Amino acid sequence: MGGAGGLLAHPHQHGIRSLIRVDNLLAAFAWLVVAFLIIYPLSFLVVDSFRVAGSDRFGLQNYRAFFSEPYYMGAFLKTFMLSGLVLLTTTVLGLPLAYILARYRLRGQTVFTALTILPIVLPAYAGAFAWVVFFGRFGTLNLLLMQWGIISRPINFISGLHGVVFMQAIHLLPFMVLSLLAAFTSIDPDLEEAAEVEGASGIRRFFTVTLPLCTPSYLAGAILVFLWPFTDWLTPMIFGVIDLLPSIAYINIAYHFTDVGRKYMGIVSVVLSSGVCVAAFLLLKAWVERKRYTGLSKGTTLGGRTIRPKPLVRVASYLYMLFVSALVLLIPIVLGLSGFSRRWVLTPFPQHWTLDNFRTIFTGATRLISNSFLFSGVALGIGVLFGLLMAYLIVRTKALGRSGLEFVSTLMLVFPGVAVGVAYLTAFWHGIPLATHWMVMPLALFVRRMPYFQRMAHAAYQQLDPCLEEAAEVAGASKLRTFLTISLPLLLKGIFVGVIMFFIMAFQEISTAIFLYRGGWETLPVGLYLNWHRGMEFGFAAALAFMMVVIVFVMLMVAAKIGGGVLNVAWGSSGRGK
Amino acid sequence: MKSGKMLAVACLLLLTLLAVAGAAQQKLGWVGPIYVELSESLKKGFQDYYLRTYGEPIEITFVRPGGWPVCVDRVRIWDGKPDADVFLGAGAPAHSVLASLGLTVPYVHAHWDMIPAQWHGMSAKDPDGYWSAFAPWLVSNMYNELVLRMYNVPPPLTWDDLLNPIYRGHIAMCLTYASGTMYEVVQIQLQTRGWRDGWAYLRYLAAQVGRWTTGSTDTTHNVTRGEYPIGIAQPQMNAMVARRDGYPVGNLVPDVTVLVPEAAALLAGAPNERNAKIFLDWLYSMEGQKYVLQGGYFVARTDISLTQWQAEGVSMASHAIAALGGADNFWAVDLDLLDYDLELATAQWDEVNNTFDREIYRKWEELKSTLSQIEAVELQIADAKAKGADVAAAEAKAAEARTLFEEGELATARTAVTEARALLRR
Amino acid sequence: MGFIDIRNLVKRFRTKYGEVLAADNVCLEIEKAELITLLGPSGCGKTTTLRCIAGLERPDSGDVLIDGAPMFSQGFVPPAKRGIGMVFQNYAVWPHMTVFANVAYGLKLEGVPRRTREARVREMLDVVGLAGLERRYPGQMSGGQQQRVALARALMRHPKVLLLDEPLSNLDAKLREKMRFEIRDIVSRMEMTAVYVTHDQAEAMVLSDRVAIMDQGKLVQVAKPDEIYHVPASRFVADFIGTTNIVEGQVEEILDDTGLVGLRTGLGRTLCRVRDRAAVAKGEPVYLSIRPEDIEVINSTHGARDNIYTGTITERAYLGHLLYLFIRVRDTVIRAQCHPRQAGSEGEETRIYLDPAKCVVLPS
Repeated sequence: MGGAGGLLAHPHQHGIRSLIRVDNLLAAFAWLVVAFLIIYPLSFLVVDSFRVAGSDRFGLQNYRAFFSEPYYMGAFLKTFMLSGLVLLTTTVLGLPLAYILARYRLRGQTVFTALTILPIVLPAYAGAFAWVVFFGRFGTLNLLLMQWGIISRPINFISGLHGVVFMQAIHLLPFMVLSLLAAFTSIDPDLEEAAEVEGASGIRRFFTVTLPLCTPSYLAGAILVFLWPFTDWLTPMIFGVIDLLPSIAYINIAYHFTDVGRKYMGIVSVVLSSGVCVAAFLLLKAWVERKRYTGLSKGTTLGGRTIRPKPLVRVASYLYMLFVSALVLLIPIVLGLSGFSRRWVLTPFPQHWTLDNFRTIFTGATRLISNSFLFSGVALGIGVLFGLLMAYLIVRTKALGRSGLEFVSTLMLVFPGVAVGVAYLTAFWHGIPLATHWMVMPLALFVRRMPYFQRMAHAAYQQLDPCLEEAAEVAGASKLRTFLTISLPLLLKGIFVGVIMFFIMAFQEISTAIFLYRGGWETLPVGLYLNWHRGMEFGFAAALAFMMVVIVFVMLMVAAKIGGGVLNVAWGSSGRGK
Repeated sequence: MKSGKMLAVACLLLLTLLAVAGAAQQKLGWVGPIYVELSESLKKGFQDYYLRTYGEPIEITFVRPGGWPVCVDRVRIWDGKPDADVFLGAGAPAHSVLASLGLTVPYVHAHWDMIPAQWHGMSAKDPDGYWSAFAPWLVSNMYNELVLRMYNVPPPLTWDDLLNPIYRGHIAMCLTYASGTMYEVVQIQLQTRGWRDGWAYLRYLAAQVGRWTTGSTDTTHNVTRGEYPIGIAQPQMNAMVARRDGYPVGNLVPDVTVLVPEAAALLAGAPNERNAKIFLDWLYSMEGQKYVLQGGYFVARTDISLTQWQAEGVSMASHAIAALGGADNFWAVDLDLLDYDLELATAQWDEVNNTFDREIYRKWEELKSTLSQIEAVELQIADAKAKGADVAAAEAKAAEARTLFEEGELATARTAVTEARALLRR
Repeated sequence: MGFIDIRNLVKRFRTKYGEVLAADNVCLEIEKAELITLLGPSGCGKTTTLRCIAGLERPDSGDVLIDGAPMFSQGFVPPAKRGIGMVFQNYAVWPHMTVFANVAYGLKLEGVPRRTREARVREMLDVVGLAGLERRYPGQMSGGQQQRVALARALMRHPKVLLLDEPLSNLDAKLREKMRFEIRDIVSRMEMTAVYVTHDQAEAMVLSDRVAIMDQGKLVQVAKPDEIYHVPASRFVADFIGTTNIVEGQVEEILDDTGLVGLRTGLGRTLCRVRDRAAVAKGEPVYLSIRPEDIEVINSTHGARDNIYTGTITERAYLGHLLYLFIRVRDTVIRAQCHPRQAGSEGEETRIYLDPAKCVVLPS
């Protein structure tokens, strides 16, 4: 909000006119979008949380009920615990992985990097179901172990909180690895070499120099990981864990029927988890600002140090990467096997192979695919435009209320999809009938997945030297022209990952879509959800999930290929002044 | 300027997209909790029929945001401006709520008389013409033959069988408010056993549960996959479909149960009312009913002969006959149904759900530990008794503990257990 | 009125630690075809002033007139409309464009046809010595070459004013020295008005027609390089430019109307000739500044009677082409620059002479 004072402090030459400057107009536009798509619908929810069931009055009753009920408080704490455990697991799994990928010169690194990113591509629910098939009491692993006589009774690998931790950790691993990777590769090699010269070698150097330098970047990833369990209701429910805030919110909102009191409790859960997430977010922000290491911000193109590991270390690295890859690959493999088979149950491997599932998709369900592409594509378009606008406003201007904008849009990270779905339906059915037009689907996707992209755009913008833009301005380019010819091409590399992530996250969104879709607007995930109940046969849903994974993975590869090529022309040979 | 051109192109593109999205045609919309297999079957059947009869194609949309409470809530949000024409599926409680809120309107379709008004004392259609059953089923339980055999236990045949300690931890059961079927199970206990004993039974049952699920299909998946071999509160046809698909599961119609008249109704303010009525007429015709059966549900007309359909080559007919124990028509199944008080059940919805939530689900762990303590002390008492000790006082205390448990006084029950143990030691 | 007229420029920045006055009422007139350097330590406000001229920063108050036209007070004139070219500290050469695209960017915006553009760019690349490198990407060039690209780009539109923001600070010493002369050469050949920001005094001395020295947002002295060196206006300037000996003192007596004054300093009694008689008053505390090269180390005989002090050599610093002797007189250590063959070793006693005409009296 610093911009306000800055402008008003010198009315001498700017006055009212300065308030109508382009930046402020853009900010006003952004505020309008945010107000219409976020604040307006979500305010319905917040208001609901203060309603007293069975009357027209408002009060704190719901909150009081929440905090006085041991069950809800227990769920509250349990969600915290889950978040902590998931964070711990991703850190423990991700740290060595990121280090190996960033520092060791090994063959097949690209493949392993791609594999680690794969879980983002996989919707958590599809992964969860694949795991039930493989790790369940009568899943492949248990059946094999029993067949080989290693165990006589099935082991419970996943049903329960440990399964949720395991699954969410795998799903979130990419966030962790990507942010750590960025950290490791952007550390100035001099800093580590300096430590080496001082006599700190190996593990000691890692813990005393490398790791502390990574902390801000690590936290950026960690916050995403930590907040996820506050919004993911489906994975815990598949593994039979219900007493977590998001699941409670989902069940209470979705299944309240005539009991509005229950619905309000669900909304209270949403509001409280949002509160927690906002607090976590602000704390992190304050902390990172206090501890900004200037050395980190420059030259992400450096690539950090790379080492040729000793043979033993190399073998261990390979084994570790293979282990993680196996965990990750298991999901598409199981989905694929299910998709190409029928009646795969209570046997370690499928017995009846068939192409029927895929035939059904290609004859009857192409609409799902085209809808998914359309909605995610439109959402991506809007998202990229808006994300860049926001990044521009926040990083480059002193426009009014820009930090507020950032704050509100990041809030969406933590609003569960169910809540957004309900809020949208309530707000946009009567009055403003946006929900009757299919644009509501991409808009909702945009709103939900925006923060992921925006964070990337923001970071990319911060790393772009303002001189490059100023030079264009001096050369006679308008702001828009400067943006299109200078900033955008240079930002591409930085936002590329964000673009891909946005699209993929939008592509697999289900919680909001399931509430908002009307007949004919079914997306691939919605189709997957609906077909889950198609008889008891999982094959068709698995085939859909498999299709989805393949589509997104192919997109990822093609984008990386094209993007890599294009970007290399501009960036490959250039070291940006170094 | 270049950027201006780009903007214009983008606008044009958007406009084309908007235009494509809204082309006029014959339309029909469904909302409801039926499984996709049924909706797909009905879609295909009705589209054929419509084209054949009216000479033009019809576009059908189906929205299934979740189980029936979610569907009802969706219609409530629409608030008289529905985005569908027919509420397809769900039993009497959902339809009576919809009717009472004025969200559905009466429509007596062409085959109204072919649906029985009452069956063993339960309604299969609404006397005021709001709804009628097109795919009836009984509230059942499901089990996994293979897994039960592996654990070496027989399938539980009655509600009381389920309390046998051999099933402990093997049962998957749904939260009441997440599934109408589960709610019926709770009501069955309350209405047959009475309020106190009904809750007592549910407390014992909860102590047997290995996993809480969040919907009847969730339960079905757990049983078919063998995670938990017994599932409480299952639509009767789920096992039929699963068996057809090759899963080693069986359906258990327990000793006392109720009918769920999976019904259809016309929504108030339906945008395509004419087509909706045509559809409802078709749904209850012989042709429509065949598509219902092929969609994996039982069929509702009294004049259907499944054996004849089997002869005609309706592939699901044989599965249905097997699932109905050889009966030729759903209504021909011979069993004792509970004299179910639907109005009471509907009126008690919030109260029972909240009680179940508070007293059973949230106290699940406590129920389990309390019961196991009671059972442990009872074993000790039996041991002592076999050795000839005088255990009358301890026995009385243990019985008191059980009573307290049944009434939900769990902490006091545990105190009683401690006292019983103390008495025994003396 | 100058070609560029900076009037009462004030610019504040808000930081976490409060407000910083980056430009504190800066007034400066720059003549046509003059190369003026804004010199000062980092954070003195020189870059802010330059950016205000460019229009990349908006002042809180005050104005900049270029060729008589106000840039702020009568509506903000955007950078592109000011007729300026600018070279940035880290070149700001666009890495995703070829040399040609970089240099031709402004022309393309002006709608200059491709053929003309090509010819003009080629011509310009000749001037800056990059002929034949049109198709290179900046990443394939050395720092010096990138800097030439930046210079070519800035000059391409024939600006009225060339602004250079520490353009050589990222180059190595040898190259820096070479580029200095090249820049001066090109600018004077094109008769361009140029404002050059640097913190390197040697650069400023070599390049500039005039040097403007800034400190903490204020302009402290604007003068020709030799004047800056020999007649600094303040202790800050004296200290900042070159090396000097600063001795605290007090005006004891005013001897005559030619400006000869007697000071009481840490050395003893010192006579100095001041340029402006009116600037000193009896009893006033002042600083005496004298450059090391103006201190004469003398043997026993010397014509003068005043300003001769006896001290002990505390250190010899031999630099090859010259020699520094550090001589302690009472409690003050004076650095004297001598011929490298000058005798005297550490601990020896010696005498120094301070020429009153070369002593500069500075206000305290």
